[in-house]
Amino acid sequence: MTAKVLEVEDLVVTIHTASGVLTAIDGVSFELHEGEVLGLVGESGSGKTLTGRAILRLLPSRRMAIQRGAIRLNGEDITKFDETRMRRVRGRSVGMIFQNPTSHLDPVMTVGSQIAESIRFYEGLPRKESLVRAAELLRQVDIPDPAVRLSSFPHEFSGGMRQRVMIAAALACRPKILIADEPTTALDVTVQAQILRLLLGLRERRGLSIILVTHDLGVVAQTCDTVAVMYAGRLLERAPKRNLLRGTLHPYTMGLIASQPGKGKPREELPSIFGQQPSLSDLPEGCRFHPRCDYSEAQCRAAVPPLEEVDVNHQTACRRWRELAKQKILGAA
Amino acid sequence: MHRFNFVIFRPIQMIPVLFGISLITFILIHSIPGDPIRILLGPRATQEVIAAVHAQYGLDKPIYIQYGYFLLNLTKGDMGRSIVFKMPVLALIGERITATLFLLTYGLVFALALTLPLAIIAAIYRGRFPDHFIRLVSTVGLGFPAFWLGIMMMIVFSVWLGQFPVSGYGRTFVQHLHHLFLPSLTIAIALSAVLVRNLRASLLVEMDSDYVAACRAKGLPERWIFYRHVIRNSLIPTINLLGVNLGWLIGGTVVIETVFSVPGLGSLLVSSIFTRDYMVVMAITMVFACAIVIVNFIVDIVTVALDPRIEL
Ligand SMILES: Nc1ncnc2c1ncn2[C@@H]1O[C@H](COP(=O)(O)OP(=O)(O)OP(=O)(O)O)[C@@H](O)[C@H]1O
Ligand SMILES: [Mg+2]
Repeated sequence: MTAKVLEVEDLVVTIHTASGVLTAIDGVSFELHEGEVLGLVGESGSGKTLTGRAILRLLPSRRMAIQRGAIRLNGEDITKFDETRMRRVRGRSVGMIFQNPTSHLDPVMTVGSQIAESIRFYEGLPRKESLVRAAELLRQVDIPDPAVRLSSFPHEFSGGMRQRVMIAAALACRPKILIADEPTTALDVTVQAQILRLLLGLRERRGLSIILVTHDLGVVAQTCDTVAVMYAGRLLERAPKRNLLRGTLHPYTMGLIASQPGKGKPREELPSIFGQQPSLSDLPEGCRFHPRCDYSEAQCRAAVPPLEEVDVNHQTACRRWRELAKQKILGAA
Repeated sequence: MHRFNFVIFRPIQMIPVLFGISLITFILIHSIPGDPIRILLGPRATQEVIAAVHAQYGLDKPIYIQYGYFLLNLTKGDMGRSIVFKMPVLALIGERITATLFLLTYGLVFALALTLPLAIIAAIYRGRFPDHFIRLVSTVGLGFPAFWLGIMMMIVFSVWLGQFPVSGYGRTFVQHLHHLFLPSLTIAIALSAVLVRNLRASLLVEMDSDYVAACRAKGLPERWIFYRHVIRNSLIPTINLLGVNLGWLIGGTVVIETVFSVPGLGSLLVSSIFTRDYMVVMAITMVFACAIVIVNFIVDIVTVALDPRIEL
């Protein structure tokens, strides 16, 4: 196995609200190796974005805080960093791109300046030279006529091109880790595939490690090496992609896989997991998935299931995985 | 740069608008009862004298002929003669316009010097004491009519404290600054009260926007993000509001100049209406109309320069 570049351990993120303190991320742990693409999947509201932003210590609201846990970047715990040191992590060690490229680019600044500005700020390069670097970055993200496009504004690009621009801007100061928060959700399918291919190409060329936040298992199947499944702020399963897609050991992941539109069943109605993800202010006891789980028992309600190491690199937070695997409900067929 | 094509076409489009304004003003002022010559010559003038002077100024002709003469003279760059001041209207306007321009520019600079720091401080300290205080002050500023504020400041600073003259304009640049301090402060307070709230609100919206989060993720410091991204985006709506208010303010000089006895176009307009000095009223109205058109034109140019998405 290659070197561990990022390790998140027992991360807890809380939100202070008028009605009390909610725990949005509850004890999430995972690690990212050099050159790895880790898929972070889960339903809307499961805490994927929050996890990604917590790694950069850029939580979306001042009422949120990292309550506990460690985020180790090359062995150093960045939760202990002050704001100045943290700023040097952002963009230079860890970059981030977002779901909606249109709103995440400044509408009144040329894309060239937006890509070049962190180079100018951190490397003190003059405007001209930083723009040369920006053109080179645009070329690397496959934008035609990069030198000309430097002086275009975001609204003069298509959605897919804007996402490329955002990738170029995020990679300007050569971070080794990229957090991509649903980078293709706002794009149509063909463009989606192009962007994913671009990310994989960049991983090869730059030795980038990527955390790919998505709710689309199709995207996971195309791009990821390993997958972490989140539900209501907790990690339910973590495994290499192949193990997870072929032989999941958690009923929630099984439901997710079954509810993906596949090639084999074109007209059939898609099965879905009944019910809804619980709200943070009203979380069930024990396993958070148990009210929606077809296989839940008394023990599932009684206590929180730990993330259990089943196999090398495969972990599940289901108490009943052994039984269910024996009954051929879970696990490889 | 086809986005700036309107710079050429807009002035041409404005000609019919100004033409319409001149026609309406001409009709309005001539329909006010009263006769400039009678007012000028006093009650003891004989019918014959009055008729002779009427003929001299062309006032004996039907109104549409008079308007025709007005247009004809306008093409020659002549706006007629003032009945009261007995001099060409253009020369009269030339004498008075500097005070008005000085006052407006002074007031505008003053207003911006108040608005920018106050709005930025309020936005940065959102929800804390400086923000509450600035918002309270600007609400109070909105509540008082400008002329009342002007009179109060004159009473306090000029009459009681004797710091500023109560009228006039002075001769040198420094004297202008001194004489017009209170009137331009009056303008600045009225303008800033509106602008501070607007700019503060748009700063807050922009500070919360997604591109700011993306800039933070690039490792840029807050100051850099604020001064290079947030301010520019926030100014776009505020510049437009400023344009609307400047139009209103150009009309407002009539009140301010009267209150502070500034020898500008506004006070001249008021006295000329009382003396029915037709050509002067016409000319000043046209100057004000042109000024409003030009201000809007400049605002459009600035908006297009600030916001690459806009095409006019
Ligand atoms: N600004 C905020 N204020 C309060 N609660 C928030 C805020 N942002 C997110 N949350 C809550 O935190 C939880 C996790 O949100 P998060 O955005 O991480 O979900 P997600 O998995 O990224 O979902 P999606 O797929 O919709 O992007 C949700 O319950 C959400 O309601
Ligand atoms: Mg999200």
